[in-house]
Amino acid sequence: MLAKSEQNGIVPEPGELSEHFLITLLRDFKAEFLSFLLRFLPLSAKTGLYRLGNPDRNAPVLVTGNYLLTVSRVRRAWRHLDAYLLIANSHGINIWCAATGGFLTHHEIISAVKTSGVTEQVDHRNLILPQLAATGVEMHRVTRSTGWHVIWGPVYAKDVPQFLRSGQKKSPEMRVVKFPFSHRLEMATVWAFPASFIVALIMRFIWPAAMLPMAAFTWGLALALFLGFPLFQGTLYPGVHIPRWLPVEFSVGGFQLLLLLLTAGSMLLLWNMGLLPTSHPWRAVGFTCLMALVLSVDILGSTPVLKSGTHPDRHWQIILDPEVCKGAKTCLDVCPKNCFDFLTERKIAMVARPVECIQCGACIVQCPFDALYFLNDRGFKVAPETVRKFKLNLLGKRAVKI
Amino acid sequence: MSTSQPKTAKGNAMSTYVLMKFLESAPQRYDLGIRIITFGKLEKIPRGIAALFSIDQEVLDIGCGTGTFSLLAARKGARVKAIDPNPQMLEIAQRRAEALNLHKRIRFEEKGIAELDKEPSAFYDRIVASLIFSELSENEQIYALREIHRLLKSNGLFIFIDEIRPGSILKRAIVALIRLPLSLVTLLITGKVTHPVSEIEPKLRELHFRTVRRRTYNFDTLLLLIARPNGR
Repeated sequence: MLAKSEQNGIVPEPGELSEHFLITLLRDFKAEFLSFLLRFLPLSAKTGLYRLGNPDRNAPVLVTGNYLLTVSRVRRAWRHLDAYLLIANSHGINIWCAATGGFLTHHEIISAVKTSGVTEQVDHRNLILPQLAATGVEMHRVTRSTGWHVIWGPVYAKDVPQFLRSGQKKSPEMRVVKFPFSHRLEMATVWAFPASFIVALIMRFIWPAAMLPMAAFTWGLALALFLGFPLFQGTLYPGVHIPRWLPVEFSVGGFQLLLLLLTAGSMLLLWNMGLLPTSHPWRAVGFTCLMALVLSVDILGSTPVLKSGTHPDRHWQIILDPEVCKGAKTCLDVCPKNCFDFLTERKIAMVARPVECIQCGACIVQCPFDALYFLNDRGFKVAPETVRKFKLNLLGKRAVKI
Repeated sequence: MSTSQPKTAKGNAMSTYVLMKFLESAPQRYDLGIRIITFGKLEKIPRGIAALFSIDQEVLDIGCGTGTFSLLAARKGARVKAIDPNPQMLEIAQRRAEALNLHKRIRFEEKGIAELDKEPSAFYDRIVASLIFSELSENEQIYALREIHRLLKSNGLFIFIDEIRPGSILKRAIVALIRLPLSLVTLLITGKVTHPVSEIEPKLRELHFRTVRRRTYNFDTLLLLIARPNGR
């Protein structure tokens, strides 16, 4: 159970990741299938150091978390590289959620460095971390504790090979979170799969004849909303003033109202045309509208590019103090929405596109001079230390003491 | 402009606000979550092992969380070092210690299990790890056991409390049934799912520990184990 080398107190040997495409595909299939459809479960991979290809003593060390879906995807994206893969303990949670939720911090990275024996395997001391870990891993504390330096790699694993080829430089595109068609299709599927089962189960007891149609509608609605996202994305931006007392922002621009009207309208139209085989058209309208309401209540938060309408810090502003800024450019490096510009003459950064900010906090957490902070909706400053110390819980709330 | 001065008269660095909603951040509801998942047994264990602590001992509480075992040891007069990587947990533990006037005996540090290299070898009389190993990966568990072995005096004791899998198939089946809804409850309340620690006793044997006392609770799912370091 303990490897012989471990029993003797010798540093553990890096594991081998099978290179053959078919073998990884088969093994990955189980991982991918399970973790794809049941991704809300914290499925974990083994932590530790693994060889990708034939790394030598100068090979890059690529760090990731131990969420099973992440590991299977990075392994596939990096199968042609000669590098080390260091899997840290993110408690079975993906990088972005783990880092922002307090489950992937400098402590987990320090632990990965110390317990994996990576220090014995390479001569350099550079860790390449996924950019989205910047909301939780304080890079300077990793260095202070281990002597290893943190380099923020691209947002997406697929960009890492190019990143490495270009001398570990990120293009502006590599820094930004996107929501392309393939991801939207994935989101729609991953939502509709469990939802359609739940809907069918509920219909079984309330209106059995509608089981299959409602399940189909669930899929149709999810696909329409996610695939059609670029069409109505513009209406979701906070251009309109929304009253602060609303506990939840159903999304600005009347998007949800429009969706409900469209749904009700389509159902009634179909019935009128004789295409709805039911004698209860208003039931059909009721359930489909309810479904539309449920799916769209957090349409904002269901995308990686917009701030959730249910999160209390959606009204917070990001403020950069130009007196304190010394031009470290870390904020530019870690912002997933490209909110910052660098003023080359004054040698400081500025928040050029505040409307894009999703309040992830990465810039605040990483700034070595504490030049950034939130201004909350009551006009109070939320200091960097507070942002570093208090993480978001499952409801997106950052609890702060009095 | 985005770089304007803060528009508040109270713009001091320490401004904070209080969340009044029911489901606040996980650490504050941690104790409740643990009470639920262990059927309240975790509260009984401290009473049973209080006798292991005494005046002037050096005690290390690894992953002190909200401070239960640190407070127990401090109450008996021990000097405690309590570590946890979660600053919110430490804050709660610190406040509890102050409320009981035990804060002078407890040194809280924000550290994980892999950050103890500066601690002197063979220094501690007692090392407690309650519900910590179930959050560690396999490598981390091995590393942790080695560190604990190094840090303990030769007559020191390692106190281990954690979730395990029951030995018998019947008990495992029953437990599996009960575990699923309970795990969901734990996930919702504490934001984490815990995994039972596998094969802790073989691991202890291989890393030169000798069990001196063991007791299980809750259908063999909760283990209290006390071990002594053997010669290296």
